[in-house]
Amino acid sequence: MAHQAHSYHMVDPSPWPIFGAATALLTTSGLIMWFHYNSLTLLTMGLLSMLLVMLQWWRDVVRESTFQGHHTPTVQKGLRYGMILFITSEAFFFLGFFWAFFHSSLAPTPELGGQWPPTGINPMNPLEVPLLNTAILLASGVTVTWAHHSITEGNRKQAIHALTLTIILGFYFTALQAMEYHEASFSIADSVYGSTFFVATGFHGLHVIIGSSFLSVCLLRLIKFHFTSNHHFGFEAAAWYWHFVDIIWLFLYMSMYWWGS
Amino acid sequence: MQALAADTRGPSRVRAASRRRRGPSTPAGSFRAARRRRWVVRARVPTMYYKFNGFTQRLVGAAASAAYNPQKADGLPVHLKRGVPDKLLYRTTMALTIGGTIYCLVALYMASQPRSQK
Repeated sequence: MAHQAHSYHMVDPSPWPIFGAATALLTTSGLIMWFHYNSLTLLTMGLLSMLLVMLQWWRDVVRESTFQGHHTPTVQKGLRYGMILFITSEAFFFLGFFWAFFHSSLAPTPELGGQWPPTGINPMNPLEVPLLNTAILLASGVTVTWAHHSITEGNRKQAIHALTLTIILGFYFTALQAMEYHEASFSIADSVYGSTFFVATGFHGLHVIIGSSFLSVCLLRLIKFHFTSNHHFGFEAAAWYWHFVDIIWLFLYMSMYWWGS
Repeated sequence: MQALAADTRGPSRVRAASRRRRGPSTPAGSFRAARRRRWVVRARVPTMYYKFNGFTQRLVGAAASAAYNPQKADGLPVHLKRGVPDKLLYRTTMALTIGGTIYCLVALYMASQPRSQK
């Protein structure tokens, strides 16, 4: 039986990349069908298949690493590079929306009343719920670091407690933001103020949900003994992502909520 | 810590029960017969065991390896390694994506047709 003479992982042929690409086609075309032809079928199929592809693809990564042992230090290094590059690309994604915000807010046009916030817009008080949300995300950054230290020290009970607390804080943030969205005195249609505010904070909220889901999967794996004190990259990737989400919120808070009010 | 009692009656109660059946005293001549009766073994599984070692875990189907062996050299790719549940999920995903792609192409073709002028 041939054994590899290198420390890389040559993966088994997998259908998930091409199915994932088809899923992207279905989801985007589904949005068109929904917007212009009032039909949700294609979008539903797209989102459902996206869920299935993600579940199975990442399930396979867990099988290859935890159960088959393919993740050598070399492989892990590549995964680290990959996660860093992905998070960097997300940072550039948000940079675009911050650019749009500053473009409109640093030189407000006469149509807005020559001021920022524009005439007629009552911005949210940054010292109320938004400040609480800032505290929540900062605390969750502390608890996820606590969880990491517990894992490296082999303290199972504390790691589970800390990670659970992190996830609860993440859900608390999401619930508070949803309430803020519901209670807001302005909407996405209210001039460029509404557009920049809701698109930037909306995408941030989506990333909080993604990060909370990633951490929840890590909690499940932690409980099922997948992580060792030296090898727990899935958790580290989730923690990096969560810190990134926290930092984006800090920038959002300082620029849109505080300076922009 | 999980302990499983296959039979809740402990060994001491078995001996007590058999002692009660024998009665309060036995005549001396049948002492050996009584001893033989006492040691008649009723086949019985251990009364209690912990699911710590591989044998007892497999007994109750709780071992990590009880489900499947992920390192078995059976030529199956990782996304089908567990057999039937993997196959079902794969076929569902394939049906949804391929069927959806065909539906999508049809819908986009229809949408690209110019509307008739009224």
